[in-house]
Amino acid sequence: MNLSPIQEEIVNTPGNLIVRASAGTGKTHTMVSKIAKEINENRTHKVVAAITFTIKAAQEIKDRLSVDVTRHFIGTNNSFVIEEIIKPFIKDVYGPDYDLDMSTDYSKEAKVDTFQAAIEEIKTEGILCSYTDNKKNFIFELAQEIVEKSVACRLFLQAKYFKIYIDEYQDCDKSMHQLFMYICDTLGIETFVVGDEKQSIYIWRGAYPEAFMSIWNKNNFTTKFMRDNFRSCKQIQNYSNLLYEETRNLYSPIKELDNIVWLSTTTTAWSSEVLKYIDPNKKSALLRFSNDNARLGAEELSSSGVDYTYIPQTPIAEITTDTAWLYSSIAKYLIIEKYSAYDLISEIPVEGNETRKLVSAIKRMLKKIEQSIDDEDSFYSATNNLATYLGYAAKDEHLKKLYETITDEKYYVAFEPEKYQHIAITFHSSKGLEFEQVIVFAEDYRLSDISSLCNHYVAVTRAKSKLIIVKLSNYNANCFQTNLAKIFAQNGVSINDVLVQK
Amino acid sequence: MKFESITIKNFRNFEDIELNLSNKNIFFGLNDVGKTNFLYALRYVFDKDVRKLNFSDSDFHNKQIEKPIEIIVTLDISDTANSDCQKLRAQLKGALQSTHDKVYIKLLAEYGKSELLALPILYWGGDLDNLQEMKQRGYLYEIDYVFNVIYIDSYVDLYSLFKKNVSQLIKNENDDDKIALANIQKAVDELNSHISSLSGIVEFEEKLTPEYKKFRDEGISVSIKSEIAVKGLYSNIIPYIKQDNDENLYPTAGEGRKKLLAYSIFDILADENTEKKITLFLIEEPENHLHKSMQIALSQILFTDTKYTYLFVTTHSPFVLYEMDDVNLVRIYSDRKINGISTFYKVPENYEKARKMLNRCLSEAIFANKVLLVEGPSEHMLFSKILSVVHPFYEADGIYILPVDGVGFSMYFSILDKLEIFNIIKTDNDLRAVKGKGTYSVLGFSRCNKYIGEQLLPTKQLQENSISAKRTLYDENQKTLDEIRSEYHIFLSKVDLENDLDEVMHDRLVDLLNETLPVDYLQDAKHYHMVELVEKLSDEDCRTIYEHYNFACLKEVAE
Repeated sequence: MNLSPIQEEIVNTPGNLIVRASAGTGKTHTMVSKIAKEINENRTHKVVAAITFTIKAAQEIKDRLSVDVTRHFIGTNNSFVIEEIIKPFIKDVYGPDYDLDMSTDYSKEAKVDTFQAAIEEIKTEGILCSYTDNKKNFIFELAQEIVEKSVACRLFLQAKYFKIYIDEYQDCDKSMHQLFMYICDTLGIETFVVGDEKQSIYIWRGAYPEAFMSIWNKNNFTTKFMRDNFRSCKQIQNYSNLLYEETRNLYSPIKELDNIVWLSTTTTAWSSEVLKYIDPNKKSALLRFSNDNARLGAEELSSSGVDYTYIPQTPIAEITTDTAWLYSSIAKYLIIEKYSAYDLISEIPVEGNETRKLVSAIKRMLKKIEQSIDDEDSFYSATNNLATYLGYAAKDEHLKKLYETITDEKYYVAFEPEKYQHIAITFHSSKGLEFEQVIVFAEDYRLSDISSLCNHYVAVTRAKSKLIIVKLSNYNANCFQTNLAKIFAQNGVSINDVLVQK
Repeated sequence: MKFESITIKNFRNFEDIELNLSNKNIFFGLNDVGKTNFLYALRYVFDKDVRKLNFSDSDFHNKQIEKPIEIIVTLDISDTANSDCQKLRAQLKGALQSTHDKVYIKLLAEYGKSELLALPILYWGGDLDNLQEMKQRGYLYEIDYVFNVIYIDSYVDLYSLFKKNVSQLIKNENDDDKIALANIQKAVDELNSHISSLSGIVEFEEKLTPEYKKFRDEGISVSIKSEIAVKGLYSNIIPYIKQDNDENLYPTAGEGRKKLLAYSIFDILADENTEKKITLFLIEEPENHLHKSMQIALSQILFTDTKYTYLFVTTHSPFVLYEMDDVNLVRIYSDRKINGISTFYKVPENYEKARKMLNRCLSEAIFANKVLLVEGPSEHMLFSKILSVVHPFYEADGIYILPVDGVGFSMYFSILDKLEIFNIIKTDNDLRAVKGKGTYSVLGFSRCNKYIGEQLLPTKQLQENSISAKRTLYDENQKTLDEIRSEYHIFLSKVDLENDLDEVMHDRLVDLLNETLPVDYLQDAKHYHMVELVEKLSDEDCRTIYEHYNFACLKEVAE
């Protein structure tokens, strides 16, 4: 795939760089091209770190990079600080008592209130836990403390990395921002940051989009703005650009207004009304705020004539420890036909001892798990064996969740959502995806605060050629309409200039 | 990064040896004391191709398989700005804490009686008591991402080296190359069609195919082709030499030339990796096949080119050492067990001018077992003659006579002492006028005291400078001087070479030289007249001198 002029500029700009990338502008493609180019041009022993928010996003970068990345770090921000800062250097700051195996646990039982209590938890339990206040981030606070106090850690990071790439920066919280800026400004490691404050859908858990804009104003960063949405049609672009002040000037009136449908309808009639505008031969998605509404929506659309598959949240998705990837990989191995032992091995997060012996042992253990699927107890022990072999401690509650996931077929769809033509899903899970046709509900977005605006922006920019806004008659939906009118009015545009209300 | 030391336990010749290292190291010693095995110890640690051979029972010292083989290399990484230190740090991660400024790399191999071999396990870190086991991926250990070993055998084969690395050395990746390669293919096809059209070839093929079918009747036919068509372009190219001003090509036939070309290829191979890895050069007896002048040229390259930052060379040739500087001299020798001793050698600043001289004599001396340090060329000439008569194979026995003129004794014996090479000093009983006082300082005595490090001889100034004054001074202190002879191997002349010789055989000198005052004659044109004398001395004369008290240093070094 070729690069657009702005994408080309970003790939070729050396040094610290911040990129604002609106939805659908080819952000991942640009970042992957830039990483590949800079790895190829590097003549030193140093490597890069590409840091993302989810394992899935890290995997996507790995898959799309055509260069050899075995020596480089590509992973989530948590695994970056745990594997590169905390695990190796905690003993350098806190003493030999902390020279121990650590696992992470962000579950409710493992929450503490203070930094001191969390440090104690490491020493006594070997667990990296989290704060009760989910807006605060213990892992990154600890990493900051270690980097500042351990000269060995600082020298290590400087000796190893020539560049750090951070994706989805608007989702960083204050602690993450502090550490990343310390690495950039104090350690002098070149930093590439990409994000979009318009897509800040994680403010509720501490994300701090102001951090992103503060980098935009730093004088040691070059700034680039990717605004050309290659995904959505012009009308949907107009609609989404009008939501934010910074993109309002991109609005240009057009004559044909049949890509967005505004449906004022009722709780009983909405599904059949919606289907009048849906082309059953093209992919579509119903995006809702809550899982329940997504599920109910799928049922109603299905009973009105087009099969919609609800993509549920799987029980194992609730696992938040560093073993989470293993449960997800085992489930994929059991559910997805083409997913083999080698795929599982490629997902082992730490650069591992991948020897022949290991591969054959893992294959054998996975076979055992597969064979024991009919008996809960032997399934637990077989899974436990594999976890132990890979250096993890399996917890009973997690094993239960895994068993529930793989024995209930309703969850299978969650592992291969791309196989289904029409799906219903929460918009939080839709990030990074795109669909020909998207259905949203006005009542999910009151548009009265930044968060709600971001949610709406993310949802509507998933659509390529058709956006259906379902407006029922309730308080939240009315708020949406009033606020949307206000926002558009700031640009001297009325809702009817942008779309046709039915 | 700086190499600091190595310890080797229970490996081949080495029961237990500890040596200081530096970044450039020269290993020398007699044959069969284990210089090659020493390089092997380093290669087991740093070279994956050797390490994957594992250890067999014969790799254990005296086959003591119940004890492990242990090799520990210590590196100094306190220079945090140095890129090689950074390469290590980036890989060592948490094994290096803030208080550490050294890296220990340890190889441990325990013999497995069921496998009948010992697998090397590698550890490293900044705390010797708490090292981290290296992660392993197939044959690769973490250390292999940091170090690149270039091992140059003394019989390096240019052609196989070239063939093995040709794809790395020659990269035809330009767009124009595609056209050229297509043209070559076309030419090769043409070449082959010409070959096949030759009547002799056709006839041979026609005969050969039915012959083959007698043995085995299968649907094949035999055809004769140029090798390049079958094995590809690179199978068929080798380096040739073209003289300037001569259009003809010559095969690189001479072993010396081949060797220099091989070194050039190693250089290029090292460059490929230089920014990503730390390249160690392990070179075994580079002097083989090289003429003296080529060895000296090689010496120049090895010790001045920055490429050879980390160098481990075994050699028997002083010429390879002529340009040595900032180098760790490691002497491997055998007494009760195989031992090694090392000293760091840097040409002192004030010796820059005398450097060639200093290096040449020193290079020769360090290969010797016993060294007789003498004042200058006259002593060298006379003593060589006497020893060659009394002890015809003295050089083969490792005796070396070193004239120190211009450089002085201390530069030499301090290095020889550190390398534990037995050395004897033969120096003159000089007196020197003290400016403006009319007295004379006892320079020869002071020199002895200085070398001994103690005031054993009196240093009171004399009123007179004459031969008899010197003799009197000697006689008065003979007891101490004799003790110094046996304790410290310092032999002071009663006066100087010529006078001491005169004392041994005055009449004979008068006869031989046909001079009434042989001392004056010899000292008049020192070099020239000593040559004359040496030619005239009979074997009998030599034995007489050898046996005399005045020249006891000869007996001391020879027996």
